Amino acid sequence: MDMSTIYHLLSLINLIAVTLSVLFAKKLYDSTRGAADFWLFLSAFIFSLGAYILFDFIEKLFSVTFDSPINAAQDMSITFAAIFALVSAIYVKKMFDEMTGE
Amino acid sequence: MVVKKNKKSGKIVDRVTKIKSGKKMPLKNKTGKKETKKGNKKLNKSKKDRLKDVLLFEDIKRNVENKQIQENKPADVIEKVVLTQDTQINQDPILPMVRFGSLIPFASKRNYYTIISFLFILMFFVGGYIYPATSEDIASNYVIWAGNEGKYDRGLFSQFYASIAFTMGVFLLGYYVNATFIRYNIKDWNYFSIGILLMLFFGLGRIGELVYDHNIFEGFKNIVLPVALIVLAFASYKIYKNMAEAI
Repeated sequence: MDMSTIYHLLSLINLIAVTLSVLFAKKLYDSTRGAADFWLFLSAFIFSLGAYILFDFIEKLFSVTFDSPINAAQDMSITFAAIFALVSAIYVKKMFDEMTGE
Repeated sequence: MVVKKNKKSGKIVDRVTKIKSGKKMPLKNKTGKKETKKGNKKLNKSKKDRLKDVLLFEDIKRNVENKQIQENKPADVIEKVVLTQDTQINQDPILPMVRFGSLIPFASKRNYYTIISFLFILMFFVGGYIYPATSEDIASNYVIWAGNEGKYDRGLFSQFYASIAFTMGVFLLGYYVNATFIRYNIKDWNYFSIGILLMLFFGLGRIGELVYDHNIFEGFKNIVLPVALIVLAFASYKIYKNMAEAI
């Protein structure tokens, strides 16, 4: 099997896995709405990952045609994922501090 | 909570039990002789004392029972419990904290994440020395430090810095998830922590493909990413399921 075929298959697996993650992240956010900011930013982190994987899938599907804008979009989504990961890390600590009364 | 036994009340209780058993201070003189005034006074005193003692005993009994009702603990436990300083500090915590002791210094369960991350970062740097960027990578402009006739590729730079930011953000998220959810042993967050660790590996792979051997690090990144996403999907499913059951 050719390497590019394997990468195409992997990107399809990524897309399916991230769709499931986004679905459950949305359900988590809906069930904990307003409870703590941590859930909001955690779901935002997973949504950003979803966006990254979606752009990756599109890039693999259409290869060179939209290379630069797709790469830029991927960079942006992964930067947002980094920001949301950082903010959710802060909020999870805050949430547990409030819960334990420290 | 420390319950100190009052010495006075203890003596009184002993005295009352002795009185009840009838060993000391008999009520009547066996000879049946008339009691003198002194003897009557003594008898009266002892009667008064006994009455006082019985009343005190009843009081103590009532107090213990009241405490038992308030704290919902049996009286035996209240008397026997001798708490250490440690347990006094963490009285009835909201979340039971799990302390994972280990013989290896700093290798408690919540620190495994940090140790594995640092080990992997070390391996990543070592991998950079073993598999540096090939001439083919430089010619194809896959690495940021060379190629394009000495001109920098801005696109690759933004990808490089975005990857560094992503790796750092994911590392911090994983660290705090381990310091909170894993520390308090909350169900199914282990999977999420593993998923985050794999995402960290993916981030390092993304950095590596821009500075070291492109093919090797790209291959590594492409293999790790689906595994990480599957683990994250499974973790989010499990967490949601538990939360839905709890609600």
